Amino acid sequence: MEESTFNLPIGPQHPFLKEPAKFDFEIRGEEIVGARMNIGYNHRGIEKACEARNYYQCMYLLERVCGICSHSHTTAFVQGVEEIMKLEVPRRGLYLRTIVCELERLHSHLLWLGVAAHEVGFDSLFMLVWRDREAVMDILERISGNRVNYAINTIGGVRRDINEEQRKKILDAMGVLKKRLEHYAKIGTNEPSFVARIRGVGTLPAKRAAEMCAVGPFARASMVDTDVRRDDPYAAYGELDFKVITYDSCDIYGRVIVRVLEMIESCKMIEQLLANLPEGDIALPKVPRKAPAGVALSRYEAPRGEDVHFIRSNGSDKPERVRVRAPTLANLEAATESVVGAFVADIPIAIASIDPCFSCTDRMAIVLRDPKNGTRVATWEELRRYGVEWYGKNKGIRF
Amino acid sequence: MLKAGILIPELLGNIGLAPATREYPFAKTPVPEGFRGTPRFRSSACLGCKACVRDCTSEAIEIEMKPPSPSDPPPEKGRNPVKKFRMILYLDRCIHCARCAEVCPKDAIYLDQEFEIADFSHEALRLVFD
Amino acid sequence: MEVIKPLLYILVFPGFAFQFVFSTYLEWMDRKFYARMQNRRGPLYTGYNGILQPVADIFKLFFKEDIVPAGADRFMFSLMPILGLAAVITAGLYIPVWFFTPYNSFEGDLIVVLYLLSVPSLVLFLAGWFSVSPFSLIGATRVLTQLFAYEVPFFLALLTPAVVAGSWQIRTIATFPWTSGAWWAIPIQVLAFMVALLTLQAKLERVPFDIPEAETEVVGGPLTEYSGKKLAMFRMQKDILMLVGSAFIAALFMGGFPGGIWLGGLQVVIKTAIVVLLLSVVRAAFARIRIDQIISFSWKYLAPASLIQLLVVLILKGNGVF
Repeated sequence: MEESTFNLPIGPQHPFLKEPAKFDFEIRGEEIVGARMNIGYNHRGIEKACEARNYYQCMYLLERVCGICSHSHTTAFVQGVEEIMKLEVPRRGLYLRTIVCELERLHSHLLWLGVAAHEVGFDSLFMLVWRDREAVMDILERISGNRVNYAINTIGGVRRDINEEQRKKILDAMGVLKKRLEHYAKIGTNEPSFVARIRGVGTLPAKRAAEMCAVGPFARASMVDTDVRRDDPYAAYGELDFKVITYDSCDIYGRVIVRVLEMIESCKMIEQLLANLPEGDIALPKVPRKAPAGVALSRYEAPRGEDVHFIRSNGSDKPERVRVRAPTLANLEAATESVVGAFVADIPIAIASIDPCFSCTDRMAIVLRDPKNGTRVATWEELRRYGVEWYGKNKGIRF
Repeated sequence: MLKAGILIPELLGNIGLAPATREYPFAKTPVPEGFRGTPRFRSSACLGCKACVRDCTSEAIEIEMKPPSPSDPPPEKGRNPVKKFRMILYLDRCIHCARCAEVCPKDAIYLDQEFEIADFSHEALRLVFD
Repeated sequence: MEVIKPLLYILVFPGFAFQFVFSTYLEWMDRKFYARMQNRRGPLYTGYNGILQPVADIFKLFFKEDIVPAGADRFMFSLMPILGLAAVITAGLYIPVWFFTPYNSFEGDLIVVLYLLSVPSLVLFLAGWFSVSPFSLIGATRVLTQLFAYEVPFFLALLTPAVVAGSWQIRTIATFPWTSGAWWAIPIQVLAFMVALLTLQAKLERVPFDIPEAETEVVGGPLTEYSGKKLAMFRMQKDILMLVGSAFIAALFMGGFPGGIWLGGLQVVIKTAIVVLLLSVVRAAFARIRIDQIISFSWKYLAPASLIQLLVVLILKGNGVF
């Protein structure tokens, strides 16, 4: 006798989701037998807005694609523009950019660790980790003027320098943070109630992770050895000595371990960068406002994985096309698949283990071409009427 | 080996520590120097080149010429009257990126440390700097 | 005026008013201690140092809109919170504070209290069942599954002091270490005390056993669709259940509250507060475990522990130690 399945809709609004996304799970008792996902709730039209703004405005606009990995999007864009304009950024500027990159990785992974602890109900770890995260936010505020959305990049370098006092404060904070991180690694691997929730849960075998093009710490915890910082060095990474952390357990436990060890690596990288900071300018003095016609593909290792920006310019001071491919888009299908076969109680932590950022992800642009009449422009009223009819016909929902 | 209750010693030790949270708004943290707060304007330095208007990401700035007022000193012989400009800042559109301050050739714009700028009406956030 | 005194017992002391005030004080203490352990402050502004915050929360809920879902059975949906609250208040009448009357102390009242303390779990299941929503149904089934896990160790743990004292009357059990001079009865039952603490945490549905109401997974579990006055009554039920459960564990395992009005009253406050602080530490130190892990933990560790304790006590009793 076939047991019937029960459809559990999660989202778009749900306490475990920090941003809206829709999941539909088929559950039998407490076990999940099918999963589907739907995104697009956070689409804001940023790519279209970029086409009407010059390169400097685009830079600050792209920063606001995501609050947590804001520097990733800015830096990826600026690297692409510098490639089109054939600019060579002074070394000190590259080093400062990289320092902020690693500080952002620290604060993002600490945020993730707290949120993951909160998803499994371990609120004490959540509070303690976020207390330690404040140290990183204070450093970022001191060097860049704001806790998030640092706006430290400019085309051709960075805008602000680090003086001796800030340098000392950063080094002190890194020392304290490394000790705390080792303490959290011990807690995360030894507390039985926490380990019971994350070990063996959300498993994604290594082969499957490679097939589904997973990126970032999510893939590195499934033995996929990919890291843009090492494979395609940008900024100052070519001159840095660091390890790429992989782990072989393919489950959420591995992802926690990978992120905590990556944080310790980031602390060491920041200390290295500060020790070897070269003298010189922080930015190019004169940068052209118009970019020659060309294309650039810029890759960046955001805290969540590989962030890809495609920029096409046409000789004016505004880009013709900016395309942002966030790492969460690459990981989302794999995450949805990793949940099948687990329990309902594992849904939040399994989806949260990819560090989802739906704000980064929703960049869909689908152009529908009417075969008879070519493209046409629809008014707001027509769109609304179309939407109401479609939902009434296909989903039975009457507004 | 798993140790149950591994967090308990730290938790019990935290009882004796001063809390890490502050009683905002009764106790405020000072913001560091270089914090990007609200943009301010020095009318005497402004040339009227409108570079800030062109580069503002969210179209939050308007520069307009102030009409000549009778209290202005008369221009020197053979020279045109000095133009004065005022800046209208829409603080609800501003994203505090400090691009205006960076691009101004005469440093007529600077950002101060004011960040508690929330208000109930759009009109209150339309600042006019004469 | 034979009807006035019982009314006063039920409504004022040790009935509803006393339990409301004391339970909100215990919730405040729990929240402050939990916050201090996490290096933050807890409630601060309502009343002195935030002591009125739980009262303010419940009062706020009374003024909120009360929605009954369209597909729900209106009568049963509204009856559940009242039933649950009535059951825990009635159980609270049997706390052995200083005076004893036939109303609140008779032979076998421990059984009555244990029965009344299982009504809240049943009420939560029915509340989730009658609010037809996927999240409440999942939460409701989890409540029942968790009941299978912790009820047996809870009963066995509370059976142990009854065996030691040789009576089912709470007053006799609570005062046994003093009346018989066998003060060592208290330290010997420490295993049952720990089992009782953990199973009370499971009954209260607090971390690590709060999977039925897990906010990050099922929004609110059985209480998802409740709002306004009904939710206020559920919150009061949970608070008073914490008070009643802690008071009983303090009475049975920590030697009761002897000594007349003032000394006994002071002991009620202090001993119950100690139990609540221990529950706060348990709440802060662990993550939420899954329902299958709760069942395996409970049957692998809690039930055998309580059985071992019971065995030890039976052997000692049989040899005439008590």
